[in-house]
Amino acid sequence: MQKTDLTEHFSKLRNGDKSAFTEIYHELKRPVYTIALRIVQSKETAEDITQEVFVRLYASPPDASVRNPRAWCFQITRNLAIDLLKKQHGMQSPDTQDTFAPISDIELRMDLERAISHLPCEEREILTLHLNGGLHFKEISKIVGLTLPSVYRRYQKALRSLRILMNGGSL
Amino acid sequence: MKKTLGTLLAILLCFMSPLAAAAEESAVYSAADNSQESVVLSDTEELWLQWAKFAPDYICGIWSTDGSMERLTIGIQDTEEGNAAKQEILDMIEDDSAITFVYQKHSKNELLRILDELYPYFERNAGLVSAGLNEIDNRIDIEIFEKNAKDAATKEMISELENAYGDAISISYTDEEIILTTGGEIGADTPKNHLPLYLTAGGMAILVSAFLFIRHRQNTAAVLQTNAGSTVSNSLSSAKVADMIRHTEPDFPSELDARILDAAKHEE
Repeated sequence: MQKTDLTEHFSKLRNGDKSAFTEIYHELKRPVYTIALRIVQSKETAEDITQEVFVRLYASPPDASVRNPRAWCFQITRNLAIDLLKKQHGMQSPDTQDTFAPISDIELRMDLERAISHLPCEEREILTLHLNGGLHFKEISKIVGLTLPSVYRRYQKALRSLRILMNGGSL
Repeated sequence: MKKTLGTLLAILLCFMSPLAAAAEESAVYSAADNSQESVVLSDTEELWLQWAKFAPDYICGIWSTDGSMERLTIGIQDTEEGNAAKQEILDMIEDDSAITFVYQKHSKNELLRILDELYPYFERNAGLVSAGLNEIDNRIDIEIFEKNAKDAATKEMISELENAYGDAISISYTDEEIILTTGGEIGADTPKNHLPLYLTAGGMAILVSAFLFIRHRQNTAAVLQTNAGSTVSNSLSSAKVADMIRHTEPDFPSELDARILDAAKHEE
């Protein structure tokens, strides 16, 4: 779906056309779920967050002043995920001492998710907002409350860490 | 005291010149003028932030291709290390902007080192006005007072500079005098009542230089090294990792559709 189409659907939803919600939902459900899952690292919690995001969107869509409603959705996703993490774990990242075996095609997906789970939460959220949400670093810096260079450095550090882990090394 | 002041002023001049030159360069340069290799990439603004001021030895320069932050040109050396670095840079970037690579002779660090070595020449009273980094033309641009052109001391200085640095420098003459807002001319006849201003400016230049040096060390380490201090050179590139994350989204639970759409309807 083109960006302009999505913006039109949001406009229709604001004006009471609830059928536009279905279009928005099918366009954004995967990135919203992926972002939530990659931040919280729990399928059940990611499902709850995804539901909460779309229920909120349905009940009170972003007003016309929101220039990028897609980013708005991802921001809500991220905020809900971080709030839940804070409640559950106090933002502690998992143990990063594991050593990864070199990847094979079959194990690729599992290893990738496992490697991502070993990144600090801040890096996971920046990574997934950029790569799965398609947000620019400027947008992400506003969402996570960090400066642009900080966001970029964390992103690069996350990629370097994943490279090391996926190549069989340890952090 | 006079010598110290001269040194401080020279540092300030040298520090300011490259910035002014870079701003002017970025506004007028067009990559289309160069018939060199071009690679279309992305996330140039982030790369700019990371590499604009300082870079590893294989980088010769980095500047805006069209005056915007959207397109960058990066000068690298046409060496094995330079070309390997080009691939490393490509691996760092994966969005939708554009980067052009051009081959250049002198590394940026080499030019900055030359700039450092020019400080003593400002104290010679041989007409040296300014020296600035010109990344696009890959050299240090040096300006000398036109009125000093025929002086023996000036000719000797130019000869020394050309012998020492060859095509890494370009010397031109100017009749413009450097005037501060207070109207004081920089030079041997500096009025005593402007001393506090010059001392402050010189001190600021040293502080900023120290800050940038520290940032340079930090940035270079961040780009090239892992947390453990080893260089990243594994077979799986950053671009590949990013691509995997982008294209291996987890399966969306099929039962979630009905659950969410029902929950939304209950909001009505």
